[in-house]
Amino acid sequence: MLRAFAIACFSVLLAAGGVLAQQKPAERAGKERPKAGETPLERWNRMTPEQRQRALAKLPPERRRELLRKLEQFRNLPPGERQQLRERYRAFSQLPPEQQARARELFRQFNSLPEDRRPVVRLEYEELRGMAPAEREDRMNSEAFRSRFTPAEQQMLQDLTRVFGSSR
Amino acid sequence: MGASAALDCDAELMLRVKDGDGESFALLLGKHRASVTHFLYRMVQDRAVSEELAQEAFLRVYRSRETYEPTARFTTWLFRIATHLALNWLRDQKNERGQERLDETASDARTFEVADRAPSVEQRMLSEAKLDEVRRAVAALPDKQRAAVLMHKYEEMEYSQIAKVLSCSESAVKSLLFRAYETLRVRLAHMA
Amino acid sequence: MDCPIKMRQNWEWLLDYAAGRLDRERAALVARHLDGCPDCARFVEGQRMVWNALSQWEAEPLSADFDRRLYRAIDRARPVSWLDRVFAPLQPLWRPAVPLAAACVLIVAGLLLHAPQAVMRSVDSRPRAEKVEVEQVERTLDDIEMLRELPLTPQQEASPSKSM
Repeated sequence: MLRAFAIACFSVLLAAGGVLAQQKPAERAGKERPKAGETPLERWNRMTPEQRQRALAKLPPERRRELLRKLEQFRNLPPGERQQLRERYRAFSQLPPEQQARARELFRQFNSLPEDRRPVVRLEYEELRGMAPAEREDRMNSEAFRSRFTPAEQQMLQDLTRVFGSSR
Repeated sequence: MGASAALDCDAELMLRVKDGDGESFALLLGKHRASVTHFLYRMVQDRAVSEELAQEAFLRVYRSRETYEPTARFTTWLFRIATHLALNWLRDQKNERGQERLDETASDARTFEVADRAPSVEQRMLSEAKLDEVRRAVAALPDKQRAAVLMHKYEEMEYSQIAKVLSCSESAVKSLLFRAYETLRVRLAHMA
Repeated sequence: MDCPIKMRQNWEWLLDYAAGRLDRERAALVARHLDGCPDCARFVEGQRMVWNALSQWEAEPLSADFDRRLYRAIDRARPVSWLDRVFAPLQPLWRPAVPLAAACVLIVAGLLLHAPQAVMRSVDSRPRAEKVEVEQVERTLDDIEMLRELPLTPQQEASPSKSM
């Protein structure tokens, strides 16, 4: 009788302890920023095939297909490019959430440009971001710059370089 | 010993395992571990994975001992488990790793070189290159065709048994083999 | 004998003939057919080549510890009475078991009274954690696609002006 009572109490304690110990992992799971040094993609790769199947099964079919397509696309990149993207992503994920959100918004704007304008704007952005601020400002105030880009494109380049341009 | 007598032997051993006889399980393991692992190796072309899958197959056999009924040959049942494990693993790899697995096949397979019968360096290199071709050709087959070829060629299974392992009809197995061997004939034609 | 290739029937006889597995009677039939059918003769020749090539692929021996690892996995999977498993390390504690058990009940009651929401949230968390993982992976891949198009990361140094 006493043993049964002790068994019951001990079981309850174990169960409660196990459940309460979940609290920390549950809180961590809600945060967007990954653990130091580990990206969500790396965490995903650490999951077992069964865990990944279960996770994928929760997505609607279209999103599931899209996710698998993007995973495949990433894995098919040349190793050098994949490594470069990993490094870029690490740097990006260190940014404050507001800056990350701003970057995504700017990218959405960039993507809404006509297809033939995107390479032009991209090249200009890459040149501008490498310049010192004063030189960059001169360039963006120049007649040549104003004639090459629409007002919307000019504004986009200003916003991009203000956030991601060199500050030295 | 004829095939049916062999069937009785393995099924008999498994029934003893069902009754709790661990020694009979050891006998079955000793008899079939090599063929199962080699089959799995040729399916997944990764030594470590093939051994893990083989152990999982025997673990499942052991776990199922209490409900075992000799409705088919023991080897049919064993290879059905092994084939499903291999097909699931290959499917998971395809979903996640794209072409990497095939690219890794050659470098992993170099640890499984054919025993060197030829003394000269050139002949050895030629053998390795040919073996690599064969491995790649098999790896390029669709999974079920690959499984059918490996069971037909290396396990010397009859069409009816392969059909039971793959849970399909005998004519479907013959179709799988016809297409698979046709692909291999084309791919390996330069080796004639 | 009808041509197996033309009639799309019994073509496996050619396969088994090439592998040397056909019984004597059928092997003789096939051999006679091959004398007069170049298509089938070509098929058999090609099949023999494939067979010989596949035969080159010999198997390597298994790891020396294969059986040991398997038996270890079997031991791990073996069901043990849960009573024995739980209480084996607690054997010395039976004397104070009742007061210990009572203390456990009090602790649990206290925790439940103190933080019921935490308990409920953590019970619900496991299925959501997996979904959050998937959404994070989706977001990561979208970000990677974005970073591939535009390097949206802080520039460390100003590079020499490229404009001429």
